[in-house]
Amino acid sequence: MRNMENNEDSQSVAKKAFPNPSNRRPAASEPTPRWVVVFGVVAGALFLCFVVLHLTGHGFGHHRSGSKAPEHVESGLGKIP
Amino acid sequence: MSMSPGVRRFALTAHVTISVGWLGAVAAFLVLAVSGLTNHDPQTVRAVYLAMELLGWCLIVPLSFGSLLSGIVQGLGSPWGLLRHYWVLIKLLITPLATLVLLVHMQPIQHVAEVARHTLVSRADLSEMRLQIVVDAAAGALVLLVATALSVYKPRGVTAYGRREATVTS
Repeated sequence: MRNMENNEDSQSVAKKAFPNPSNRRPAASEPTPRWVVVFGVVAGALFLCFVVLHLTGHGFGHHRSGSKAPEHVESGLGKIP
Repeated sequence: MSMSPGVRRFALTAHVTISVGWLGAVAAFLVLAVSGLTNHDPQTVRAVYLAMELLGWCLIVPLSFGSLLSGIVQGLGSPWGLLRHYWVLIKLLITPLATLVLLVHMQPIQHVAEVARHTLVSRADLSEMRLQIVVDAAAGALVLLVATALSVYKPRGVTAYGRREATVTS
């Protein structure tokens, strides 16, 4: 009984993994799905923006130089006891 | 590697809990980051950045590694595989990338927290860095939302590797 349950469970996961009609295996020449292409283009564009922003000095490579720490850090004024 | 259904369910529960926990922690981090940027009270701002440092190191970083590890176990132990389906492959690329970016961005968070630990931070102090933390947190939350959506919708699409593997095993 337990074995049957396990078997059914494995089959349902396998069906989900290959959710084609009648659980057929994918054809060898299946094209790349459109959503993957769109996702790749969007991710590539965002990555390009990220690289350009950082190369032009707006990114985390310039965190310390681009931001000014409060002067009282160095002078000790306003220091919390 | 094949897991028994009981172990697989346990691994899946762990992966979902850790990954959704990561998203929740990043959402809390984003709320704190916005509060740190916009709040006028220096004491509140100080508390916010100290809390963010704690949240980052004690929760977000461990959860990111946990999500990556449990995801790899889940992929290897289930018929979905790690490289067979595009949605799993994309998640596999997103998670380590997000973890790496997170680790790099812990540096400014730690710097702001260090300043806040010793002084009262006003709205004008470290403004550029604090804005960067808000943008980073928002981007992180968006990336994790995409990963969650991929896990729920499981869009169809088998990779070339998955197709080759299916041909060999059939």
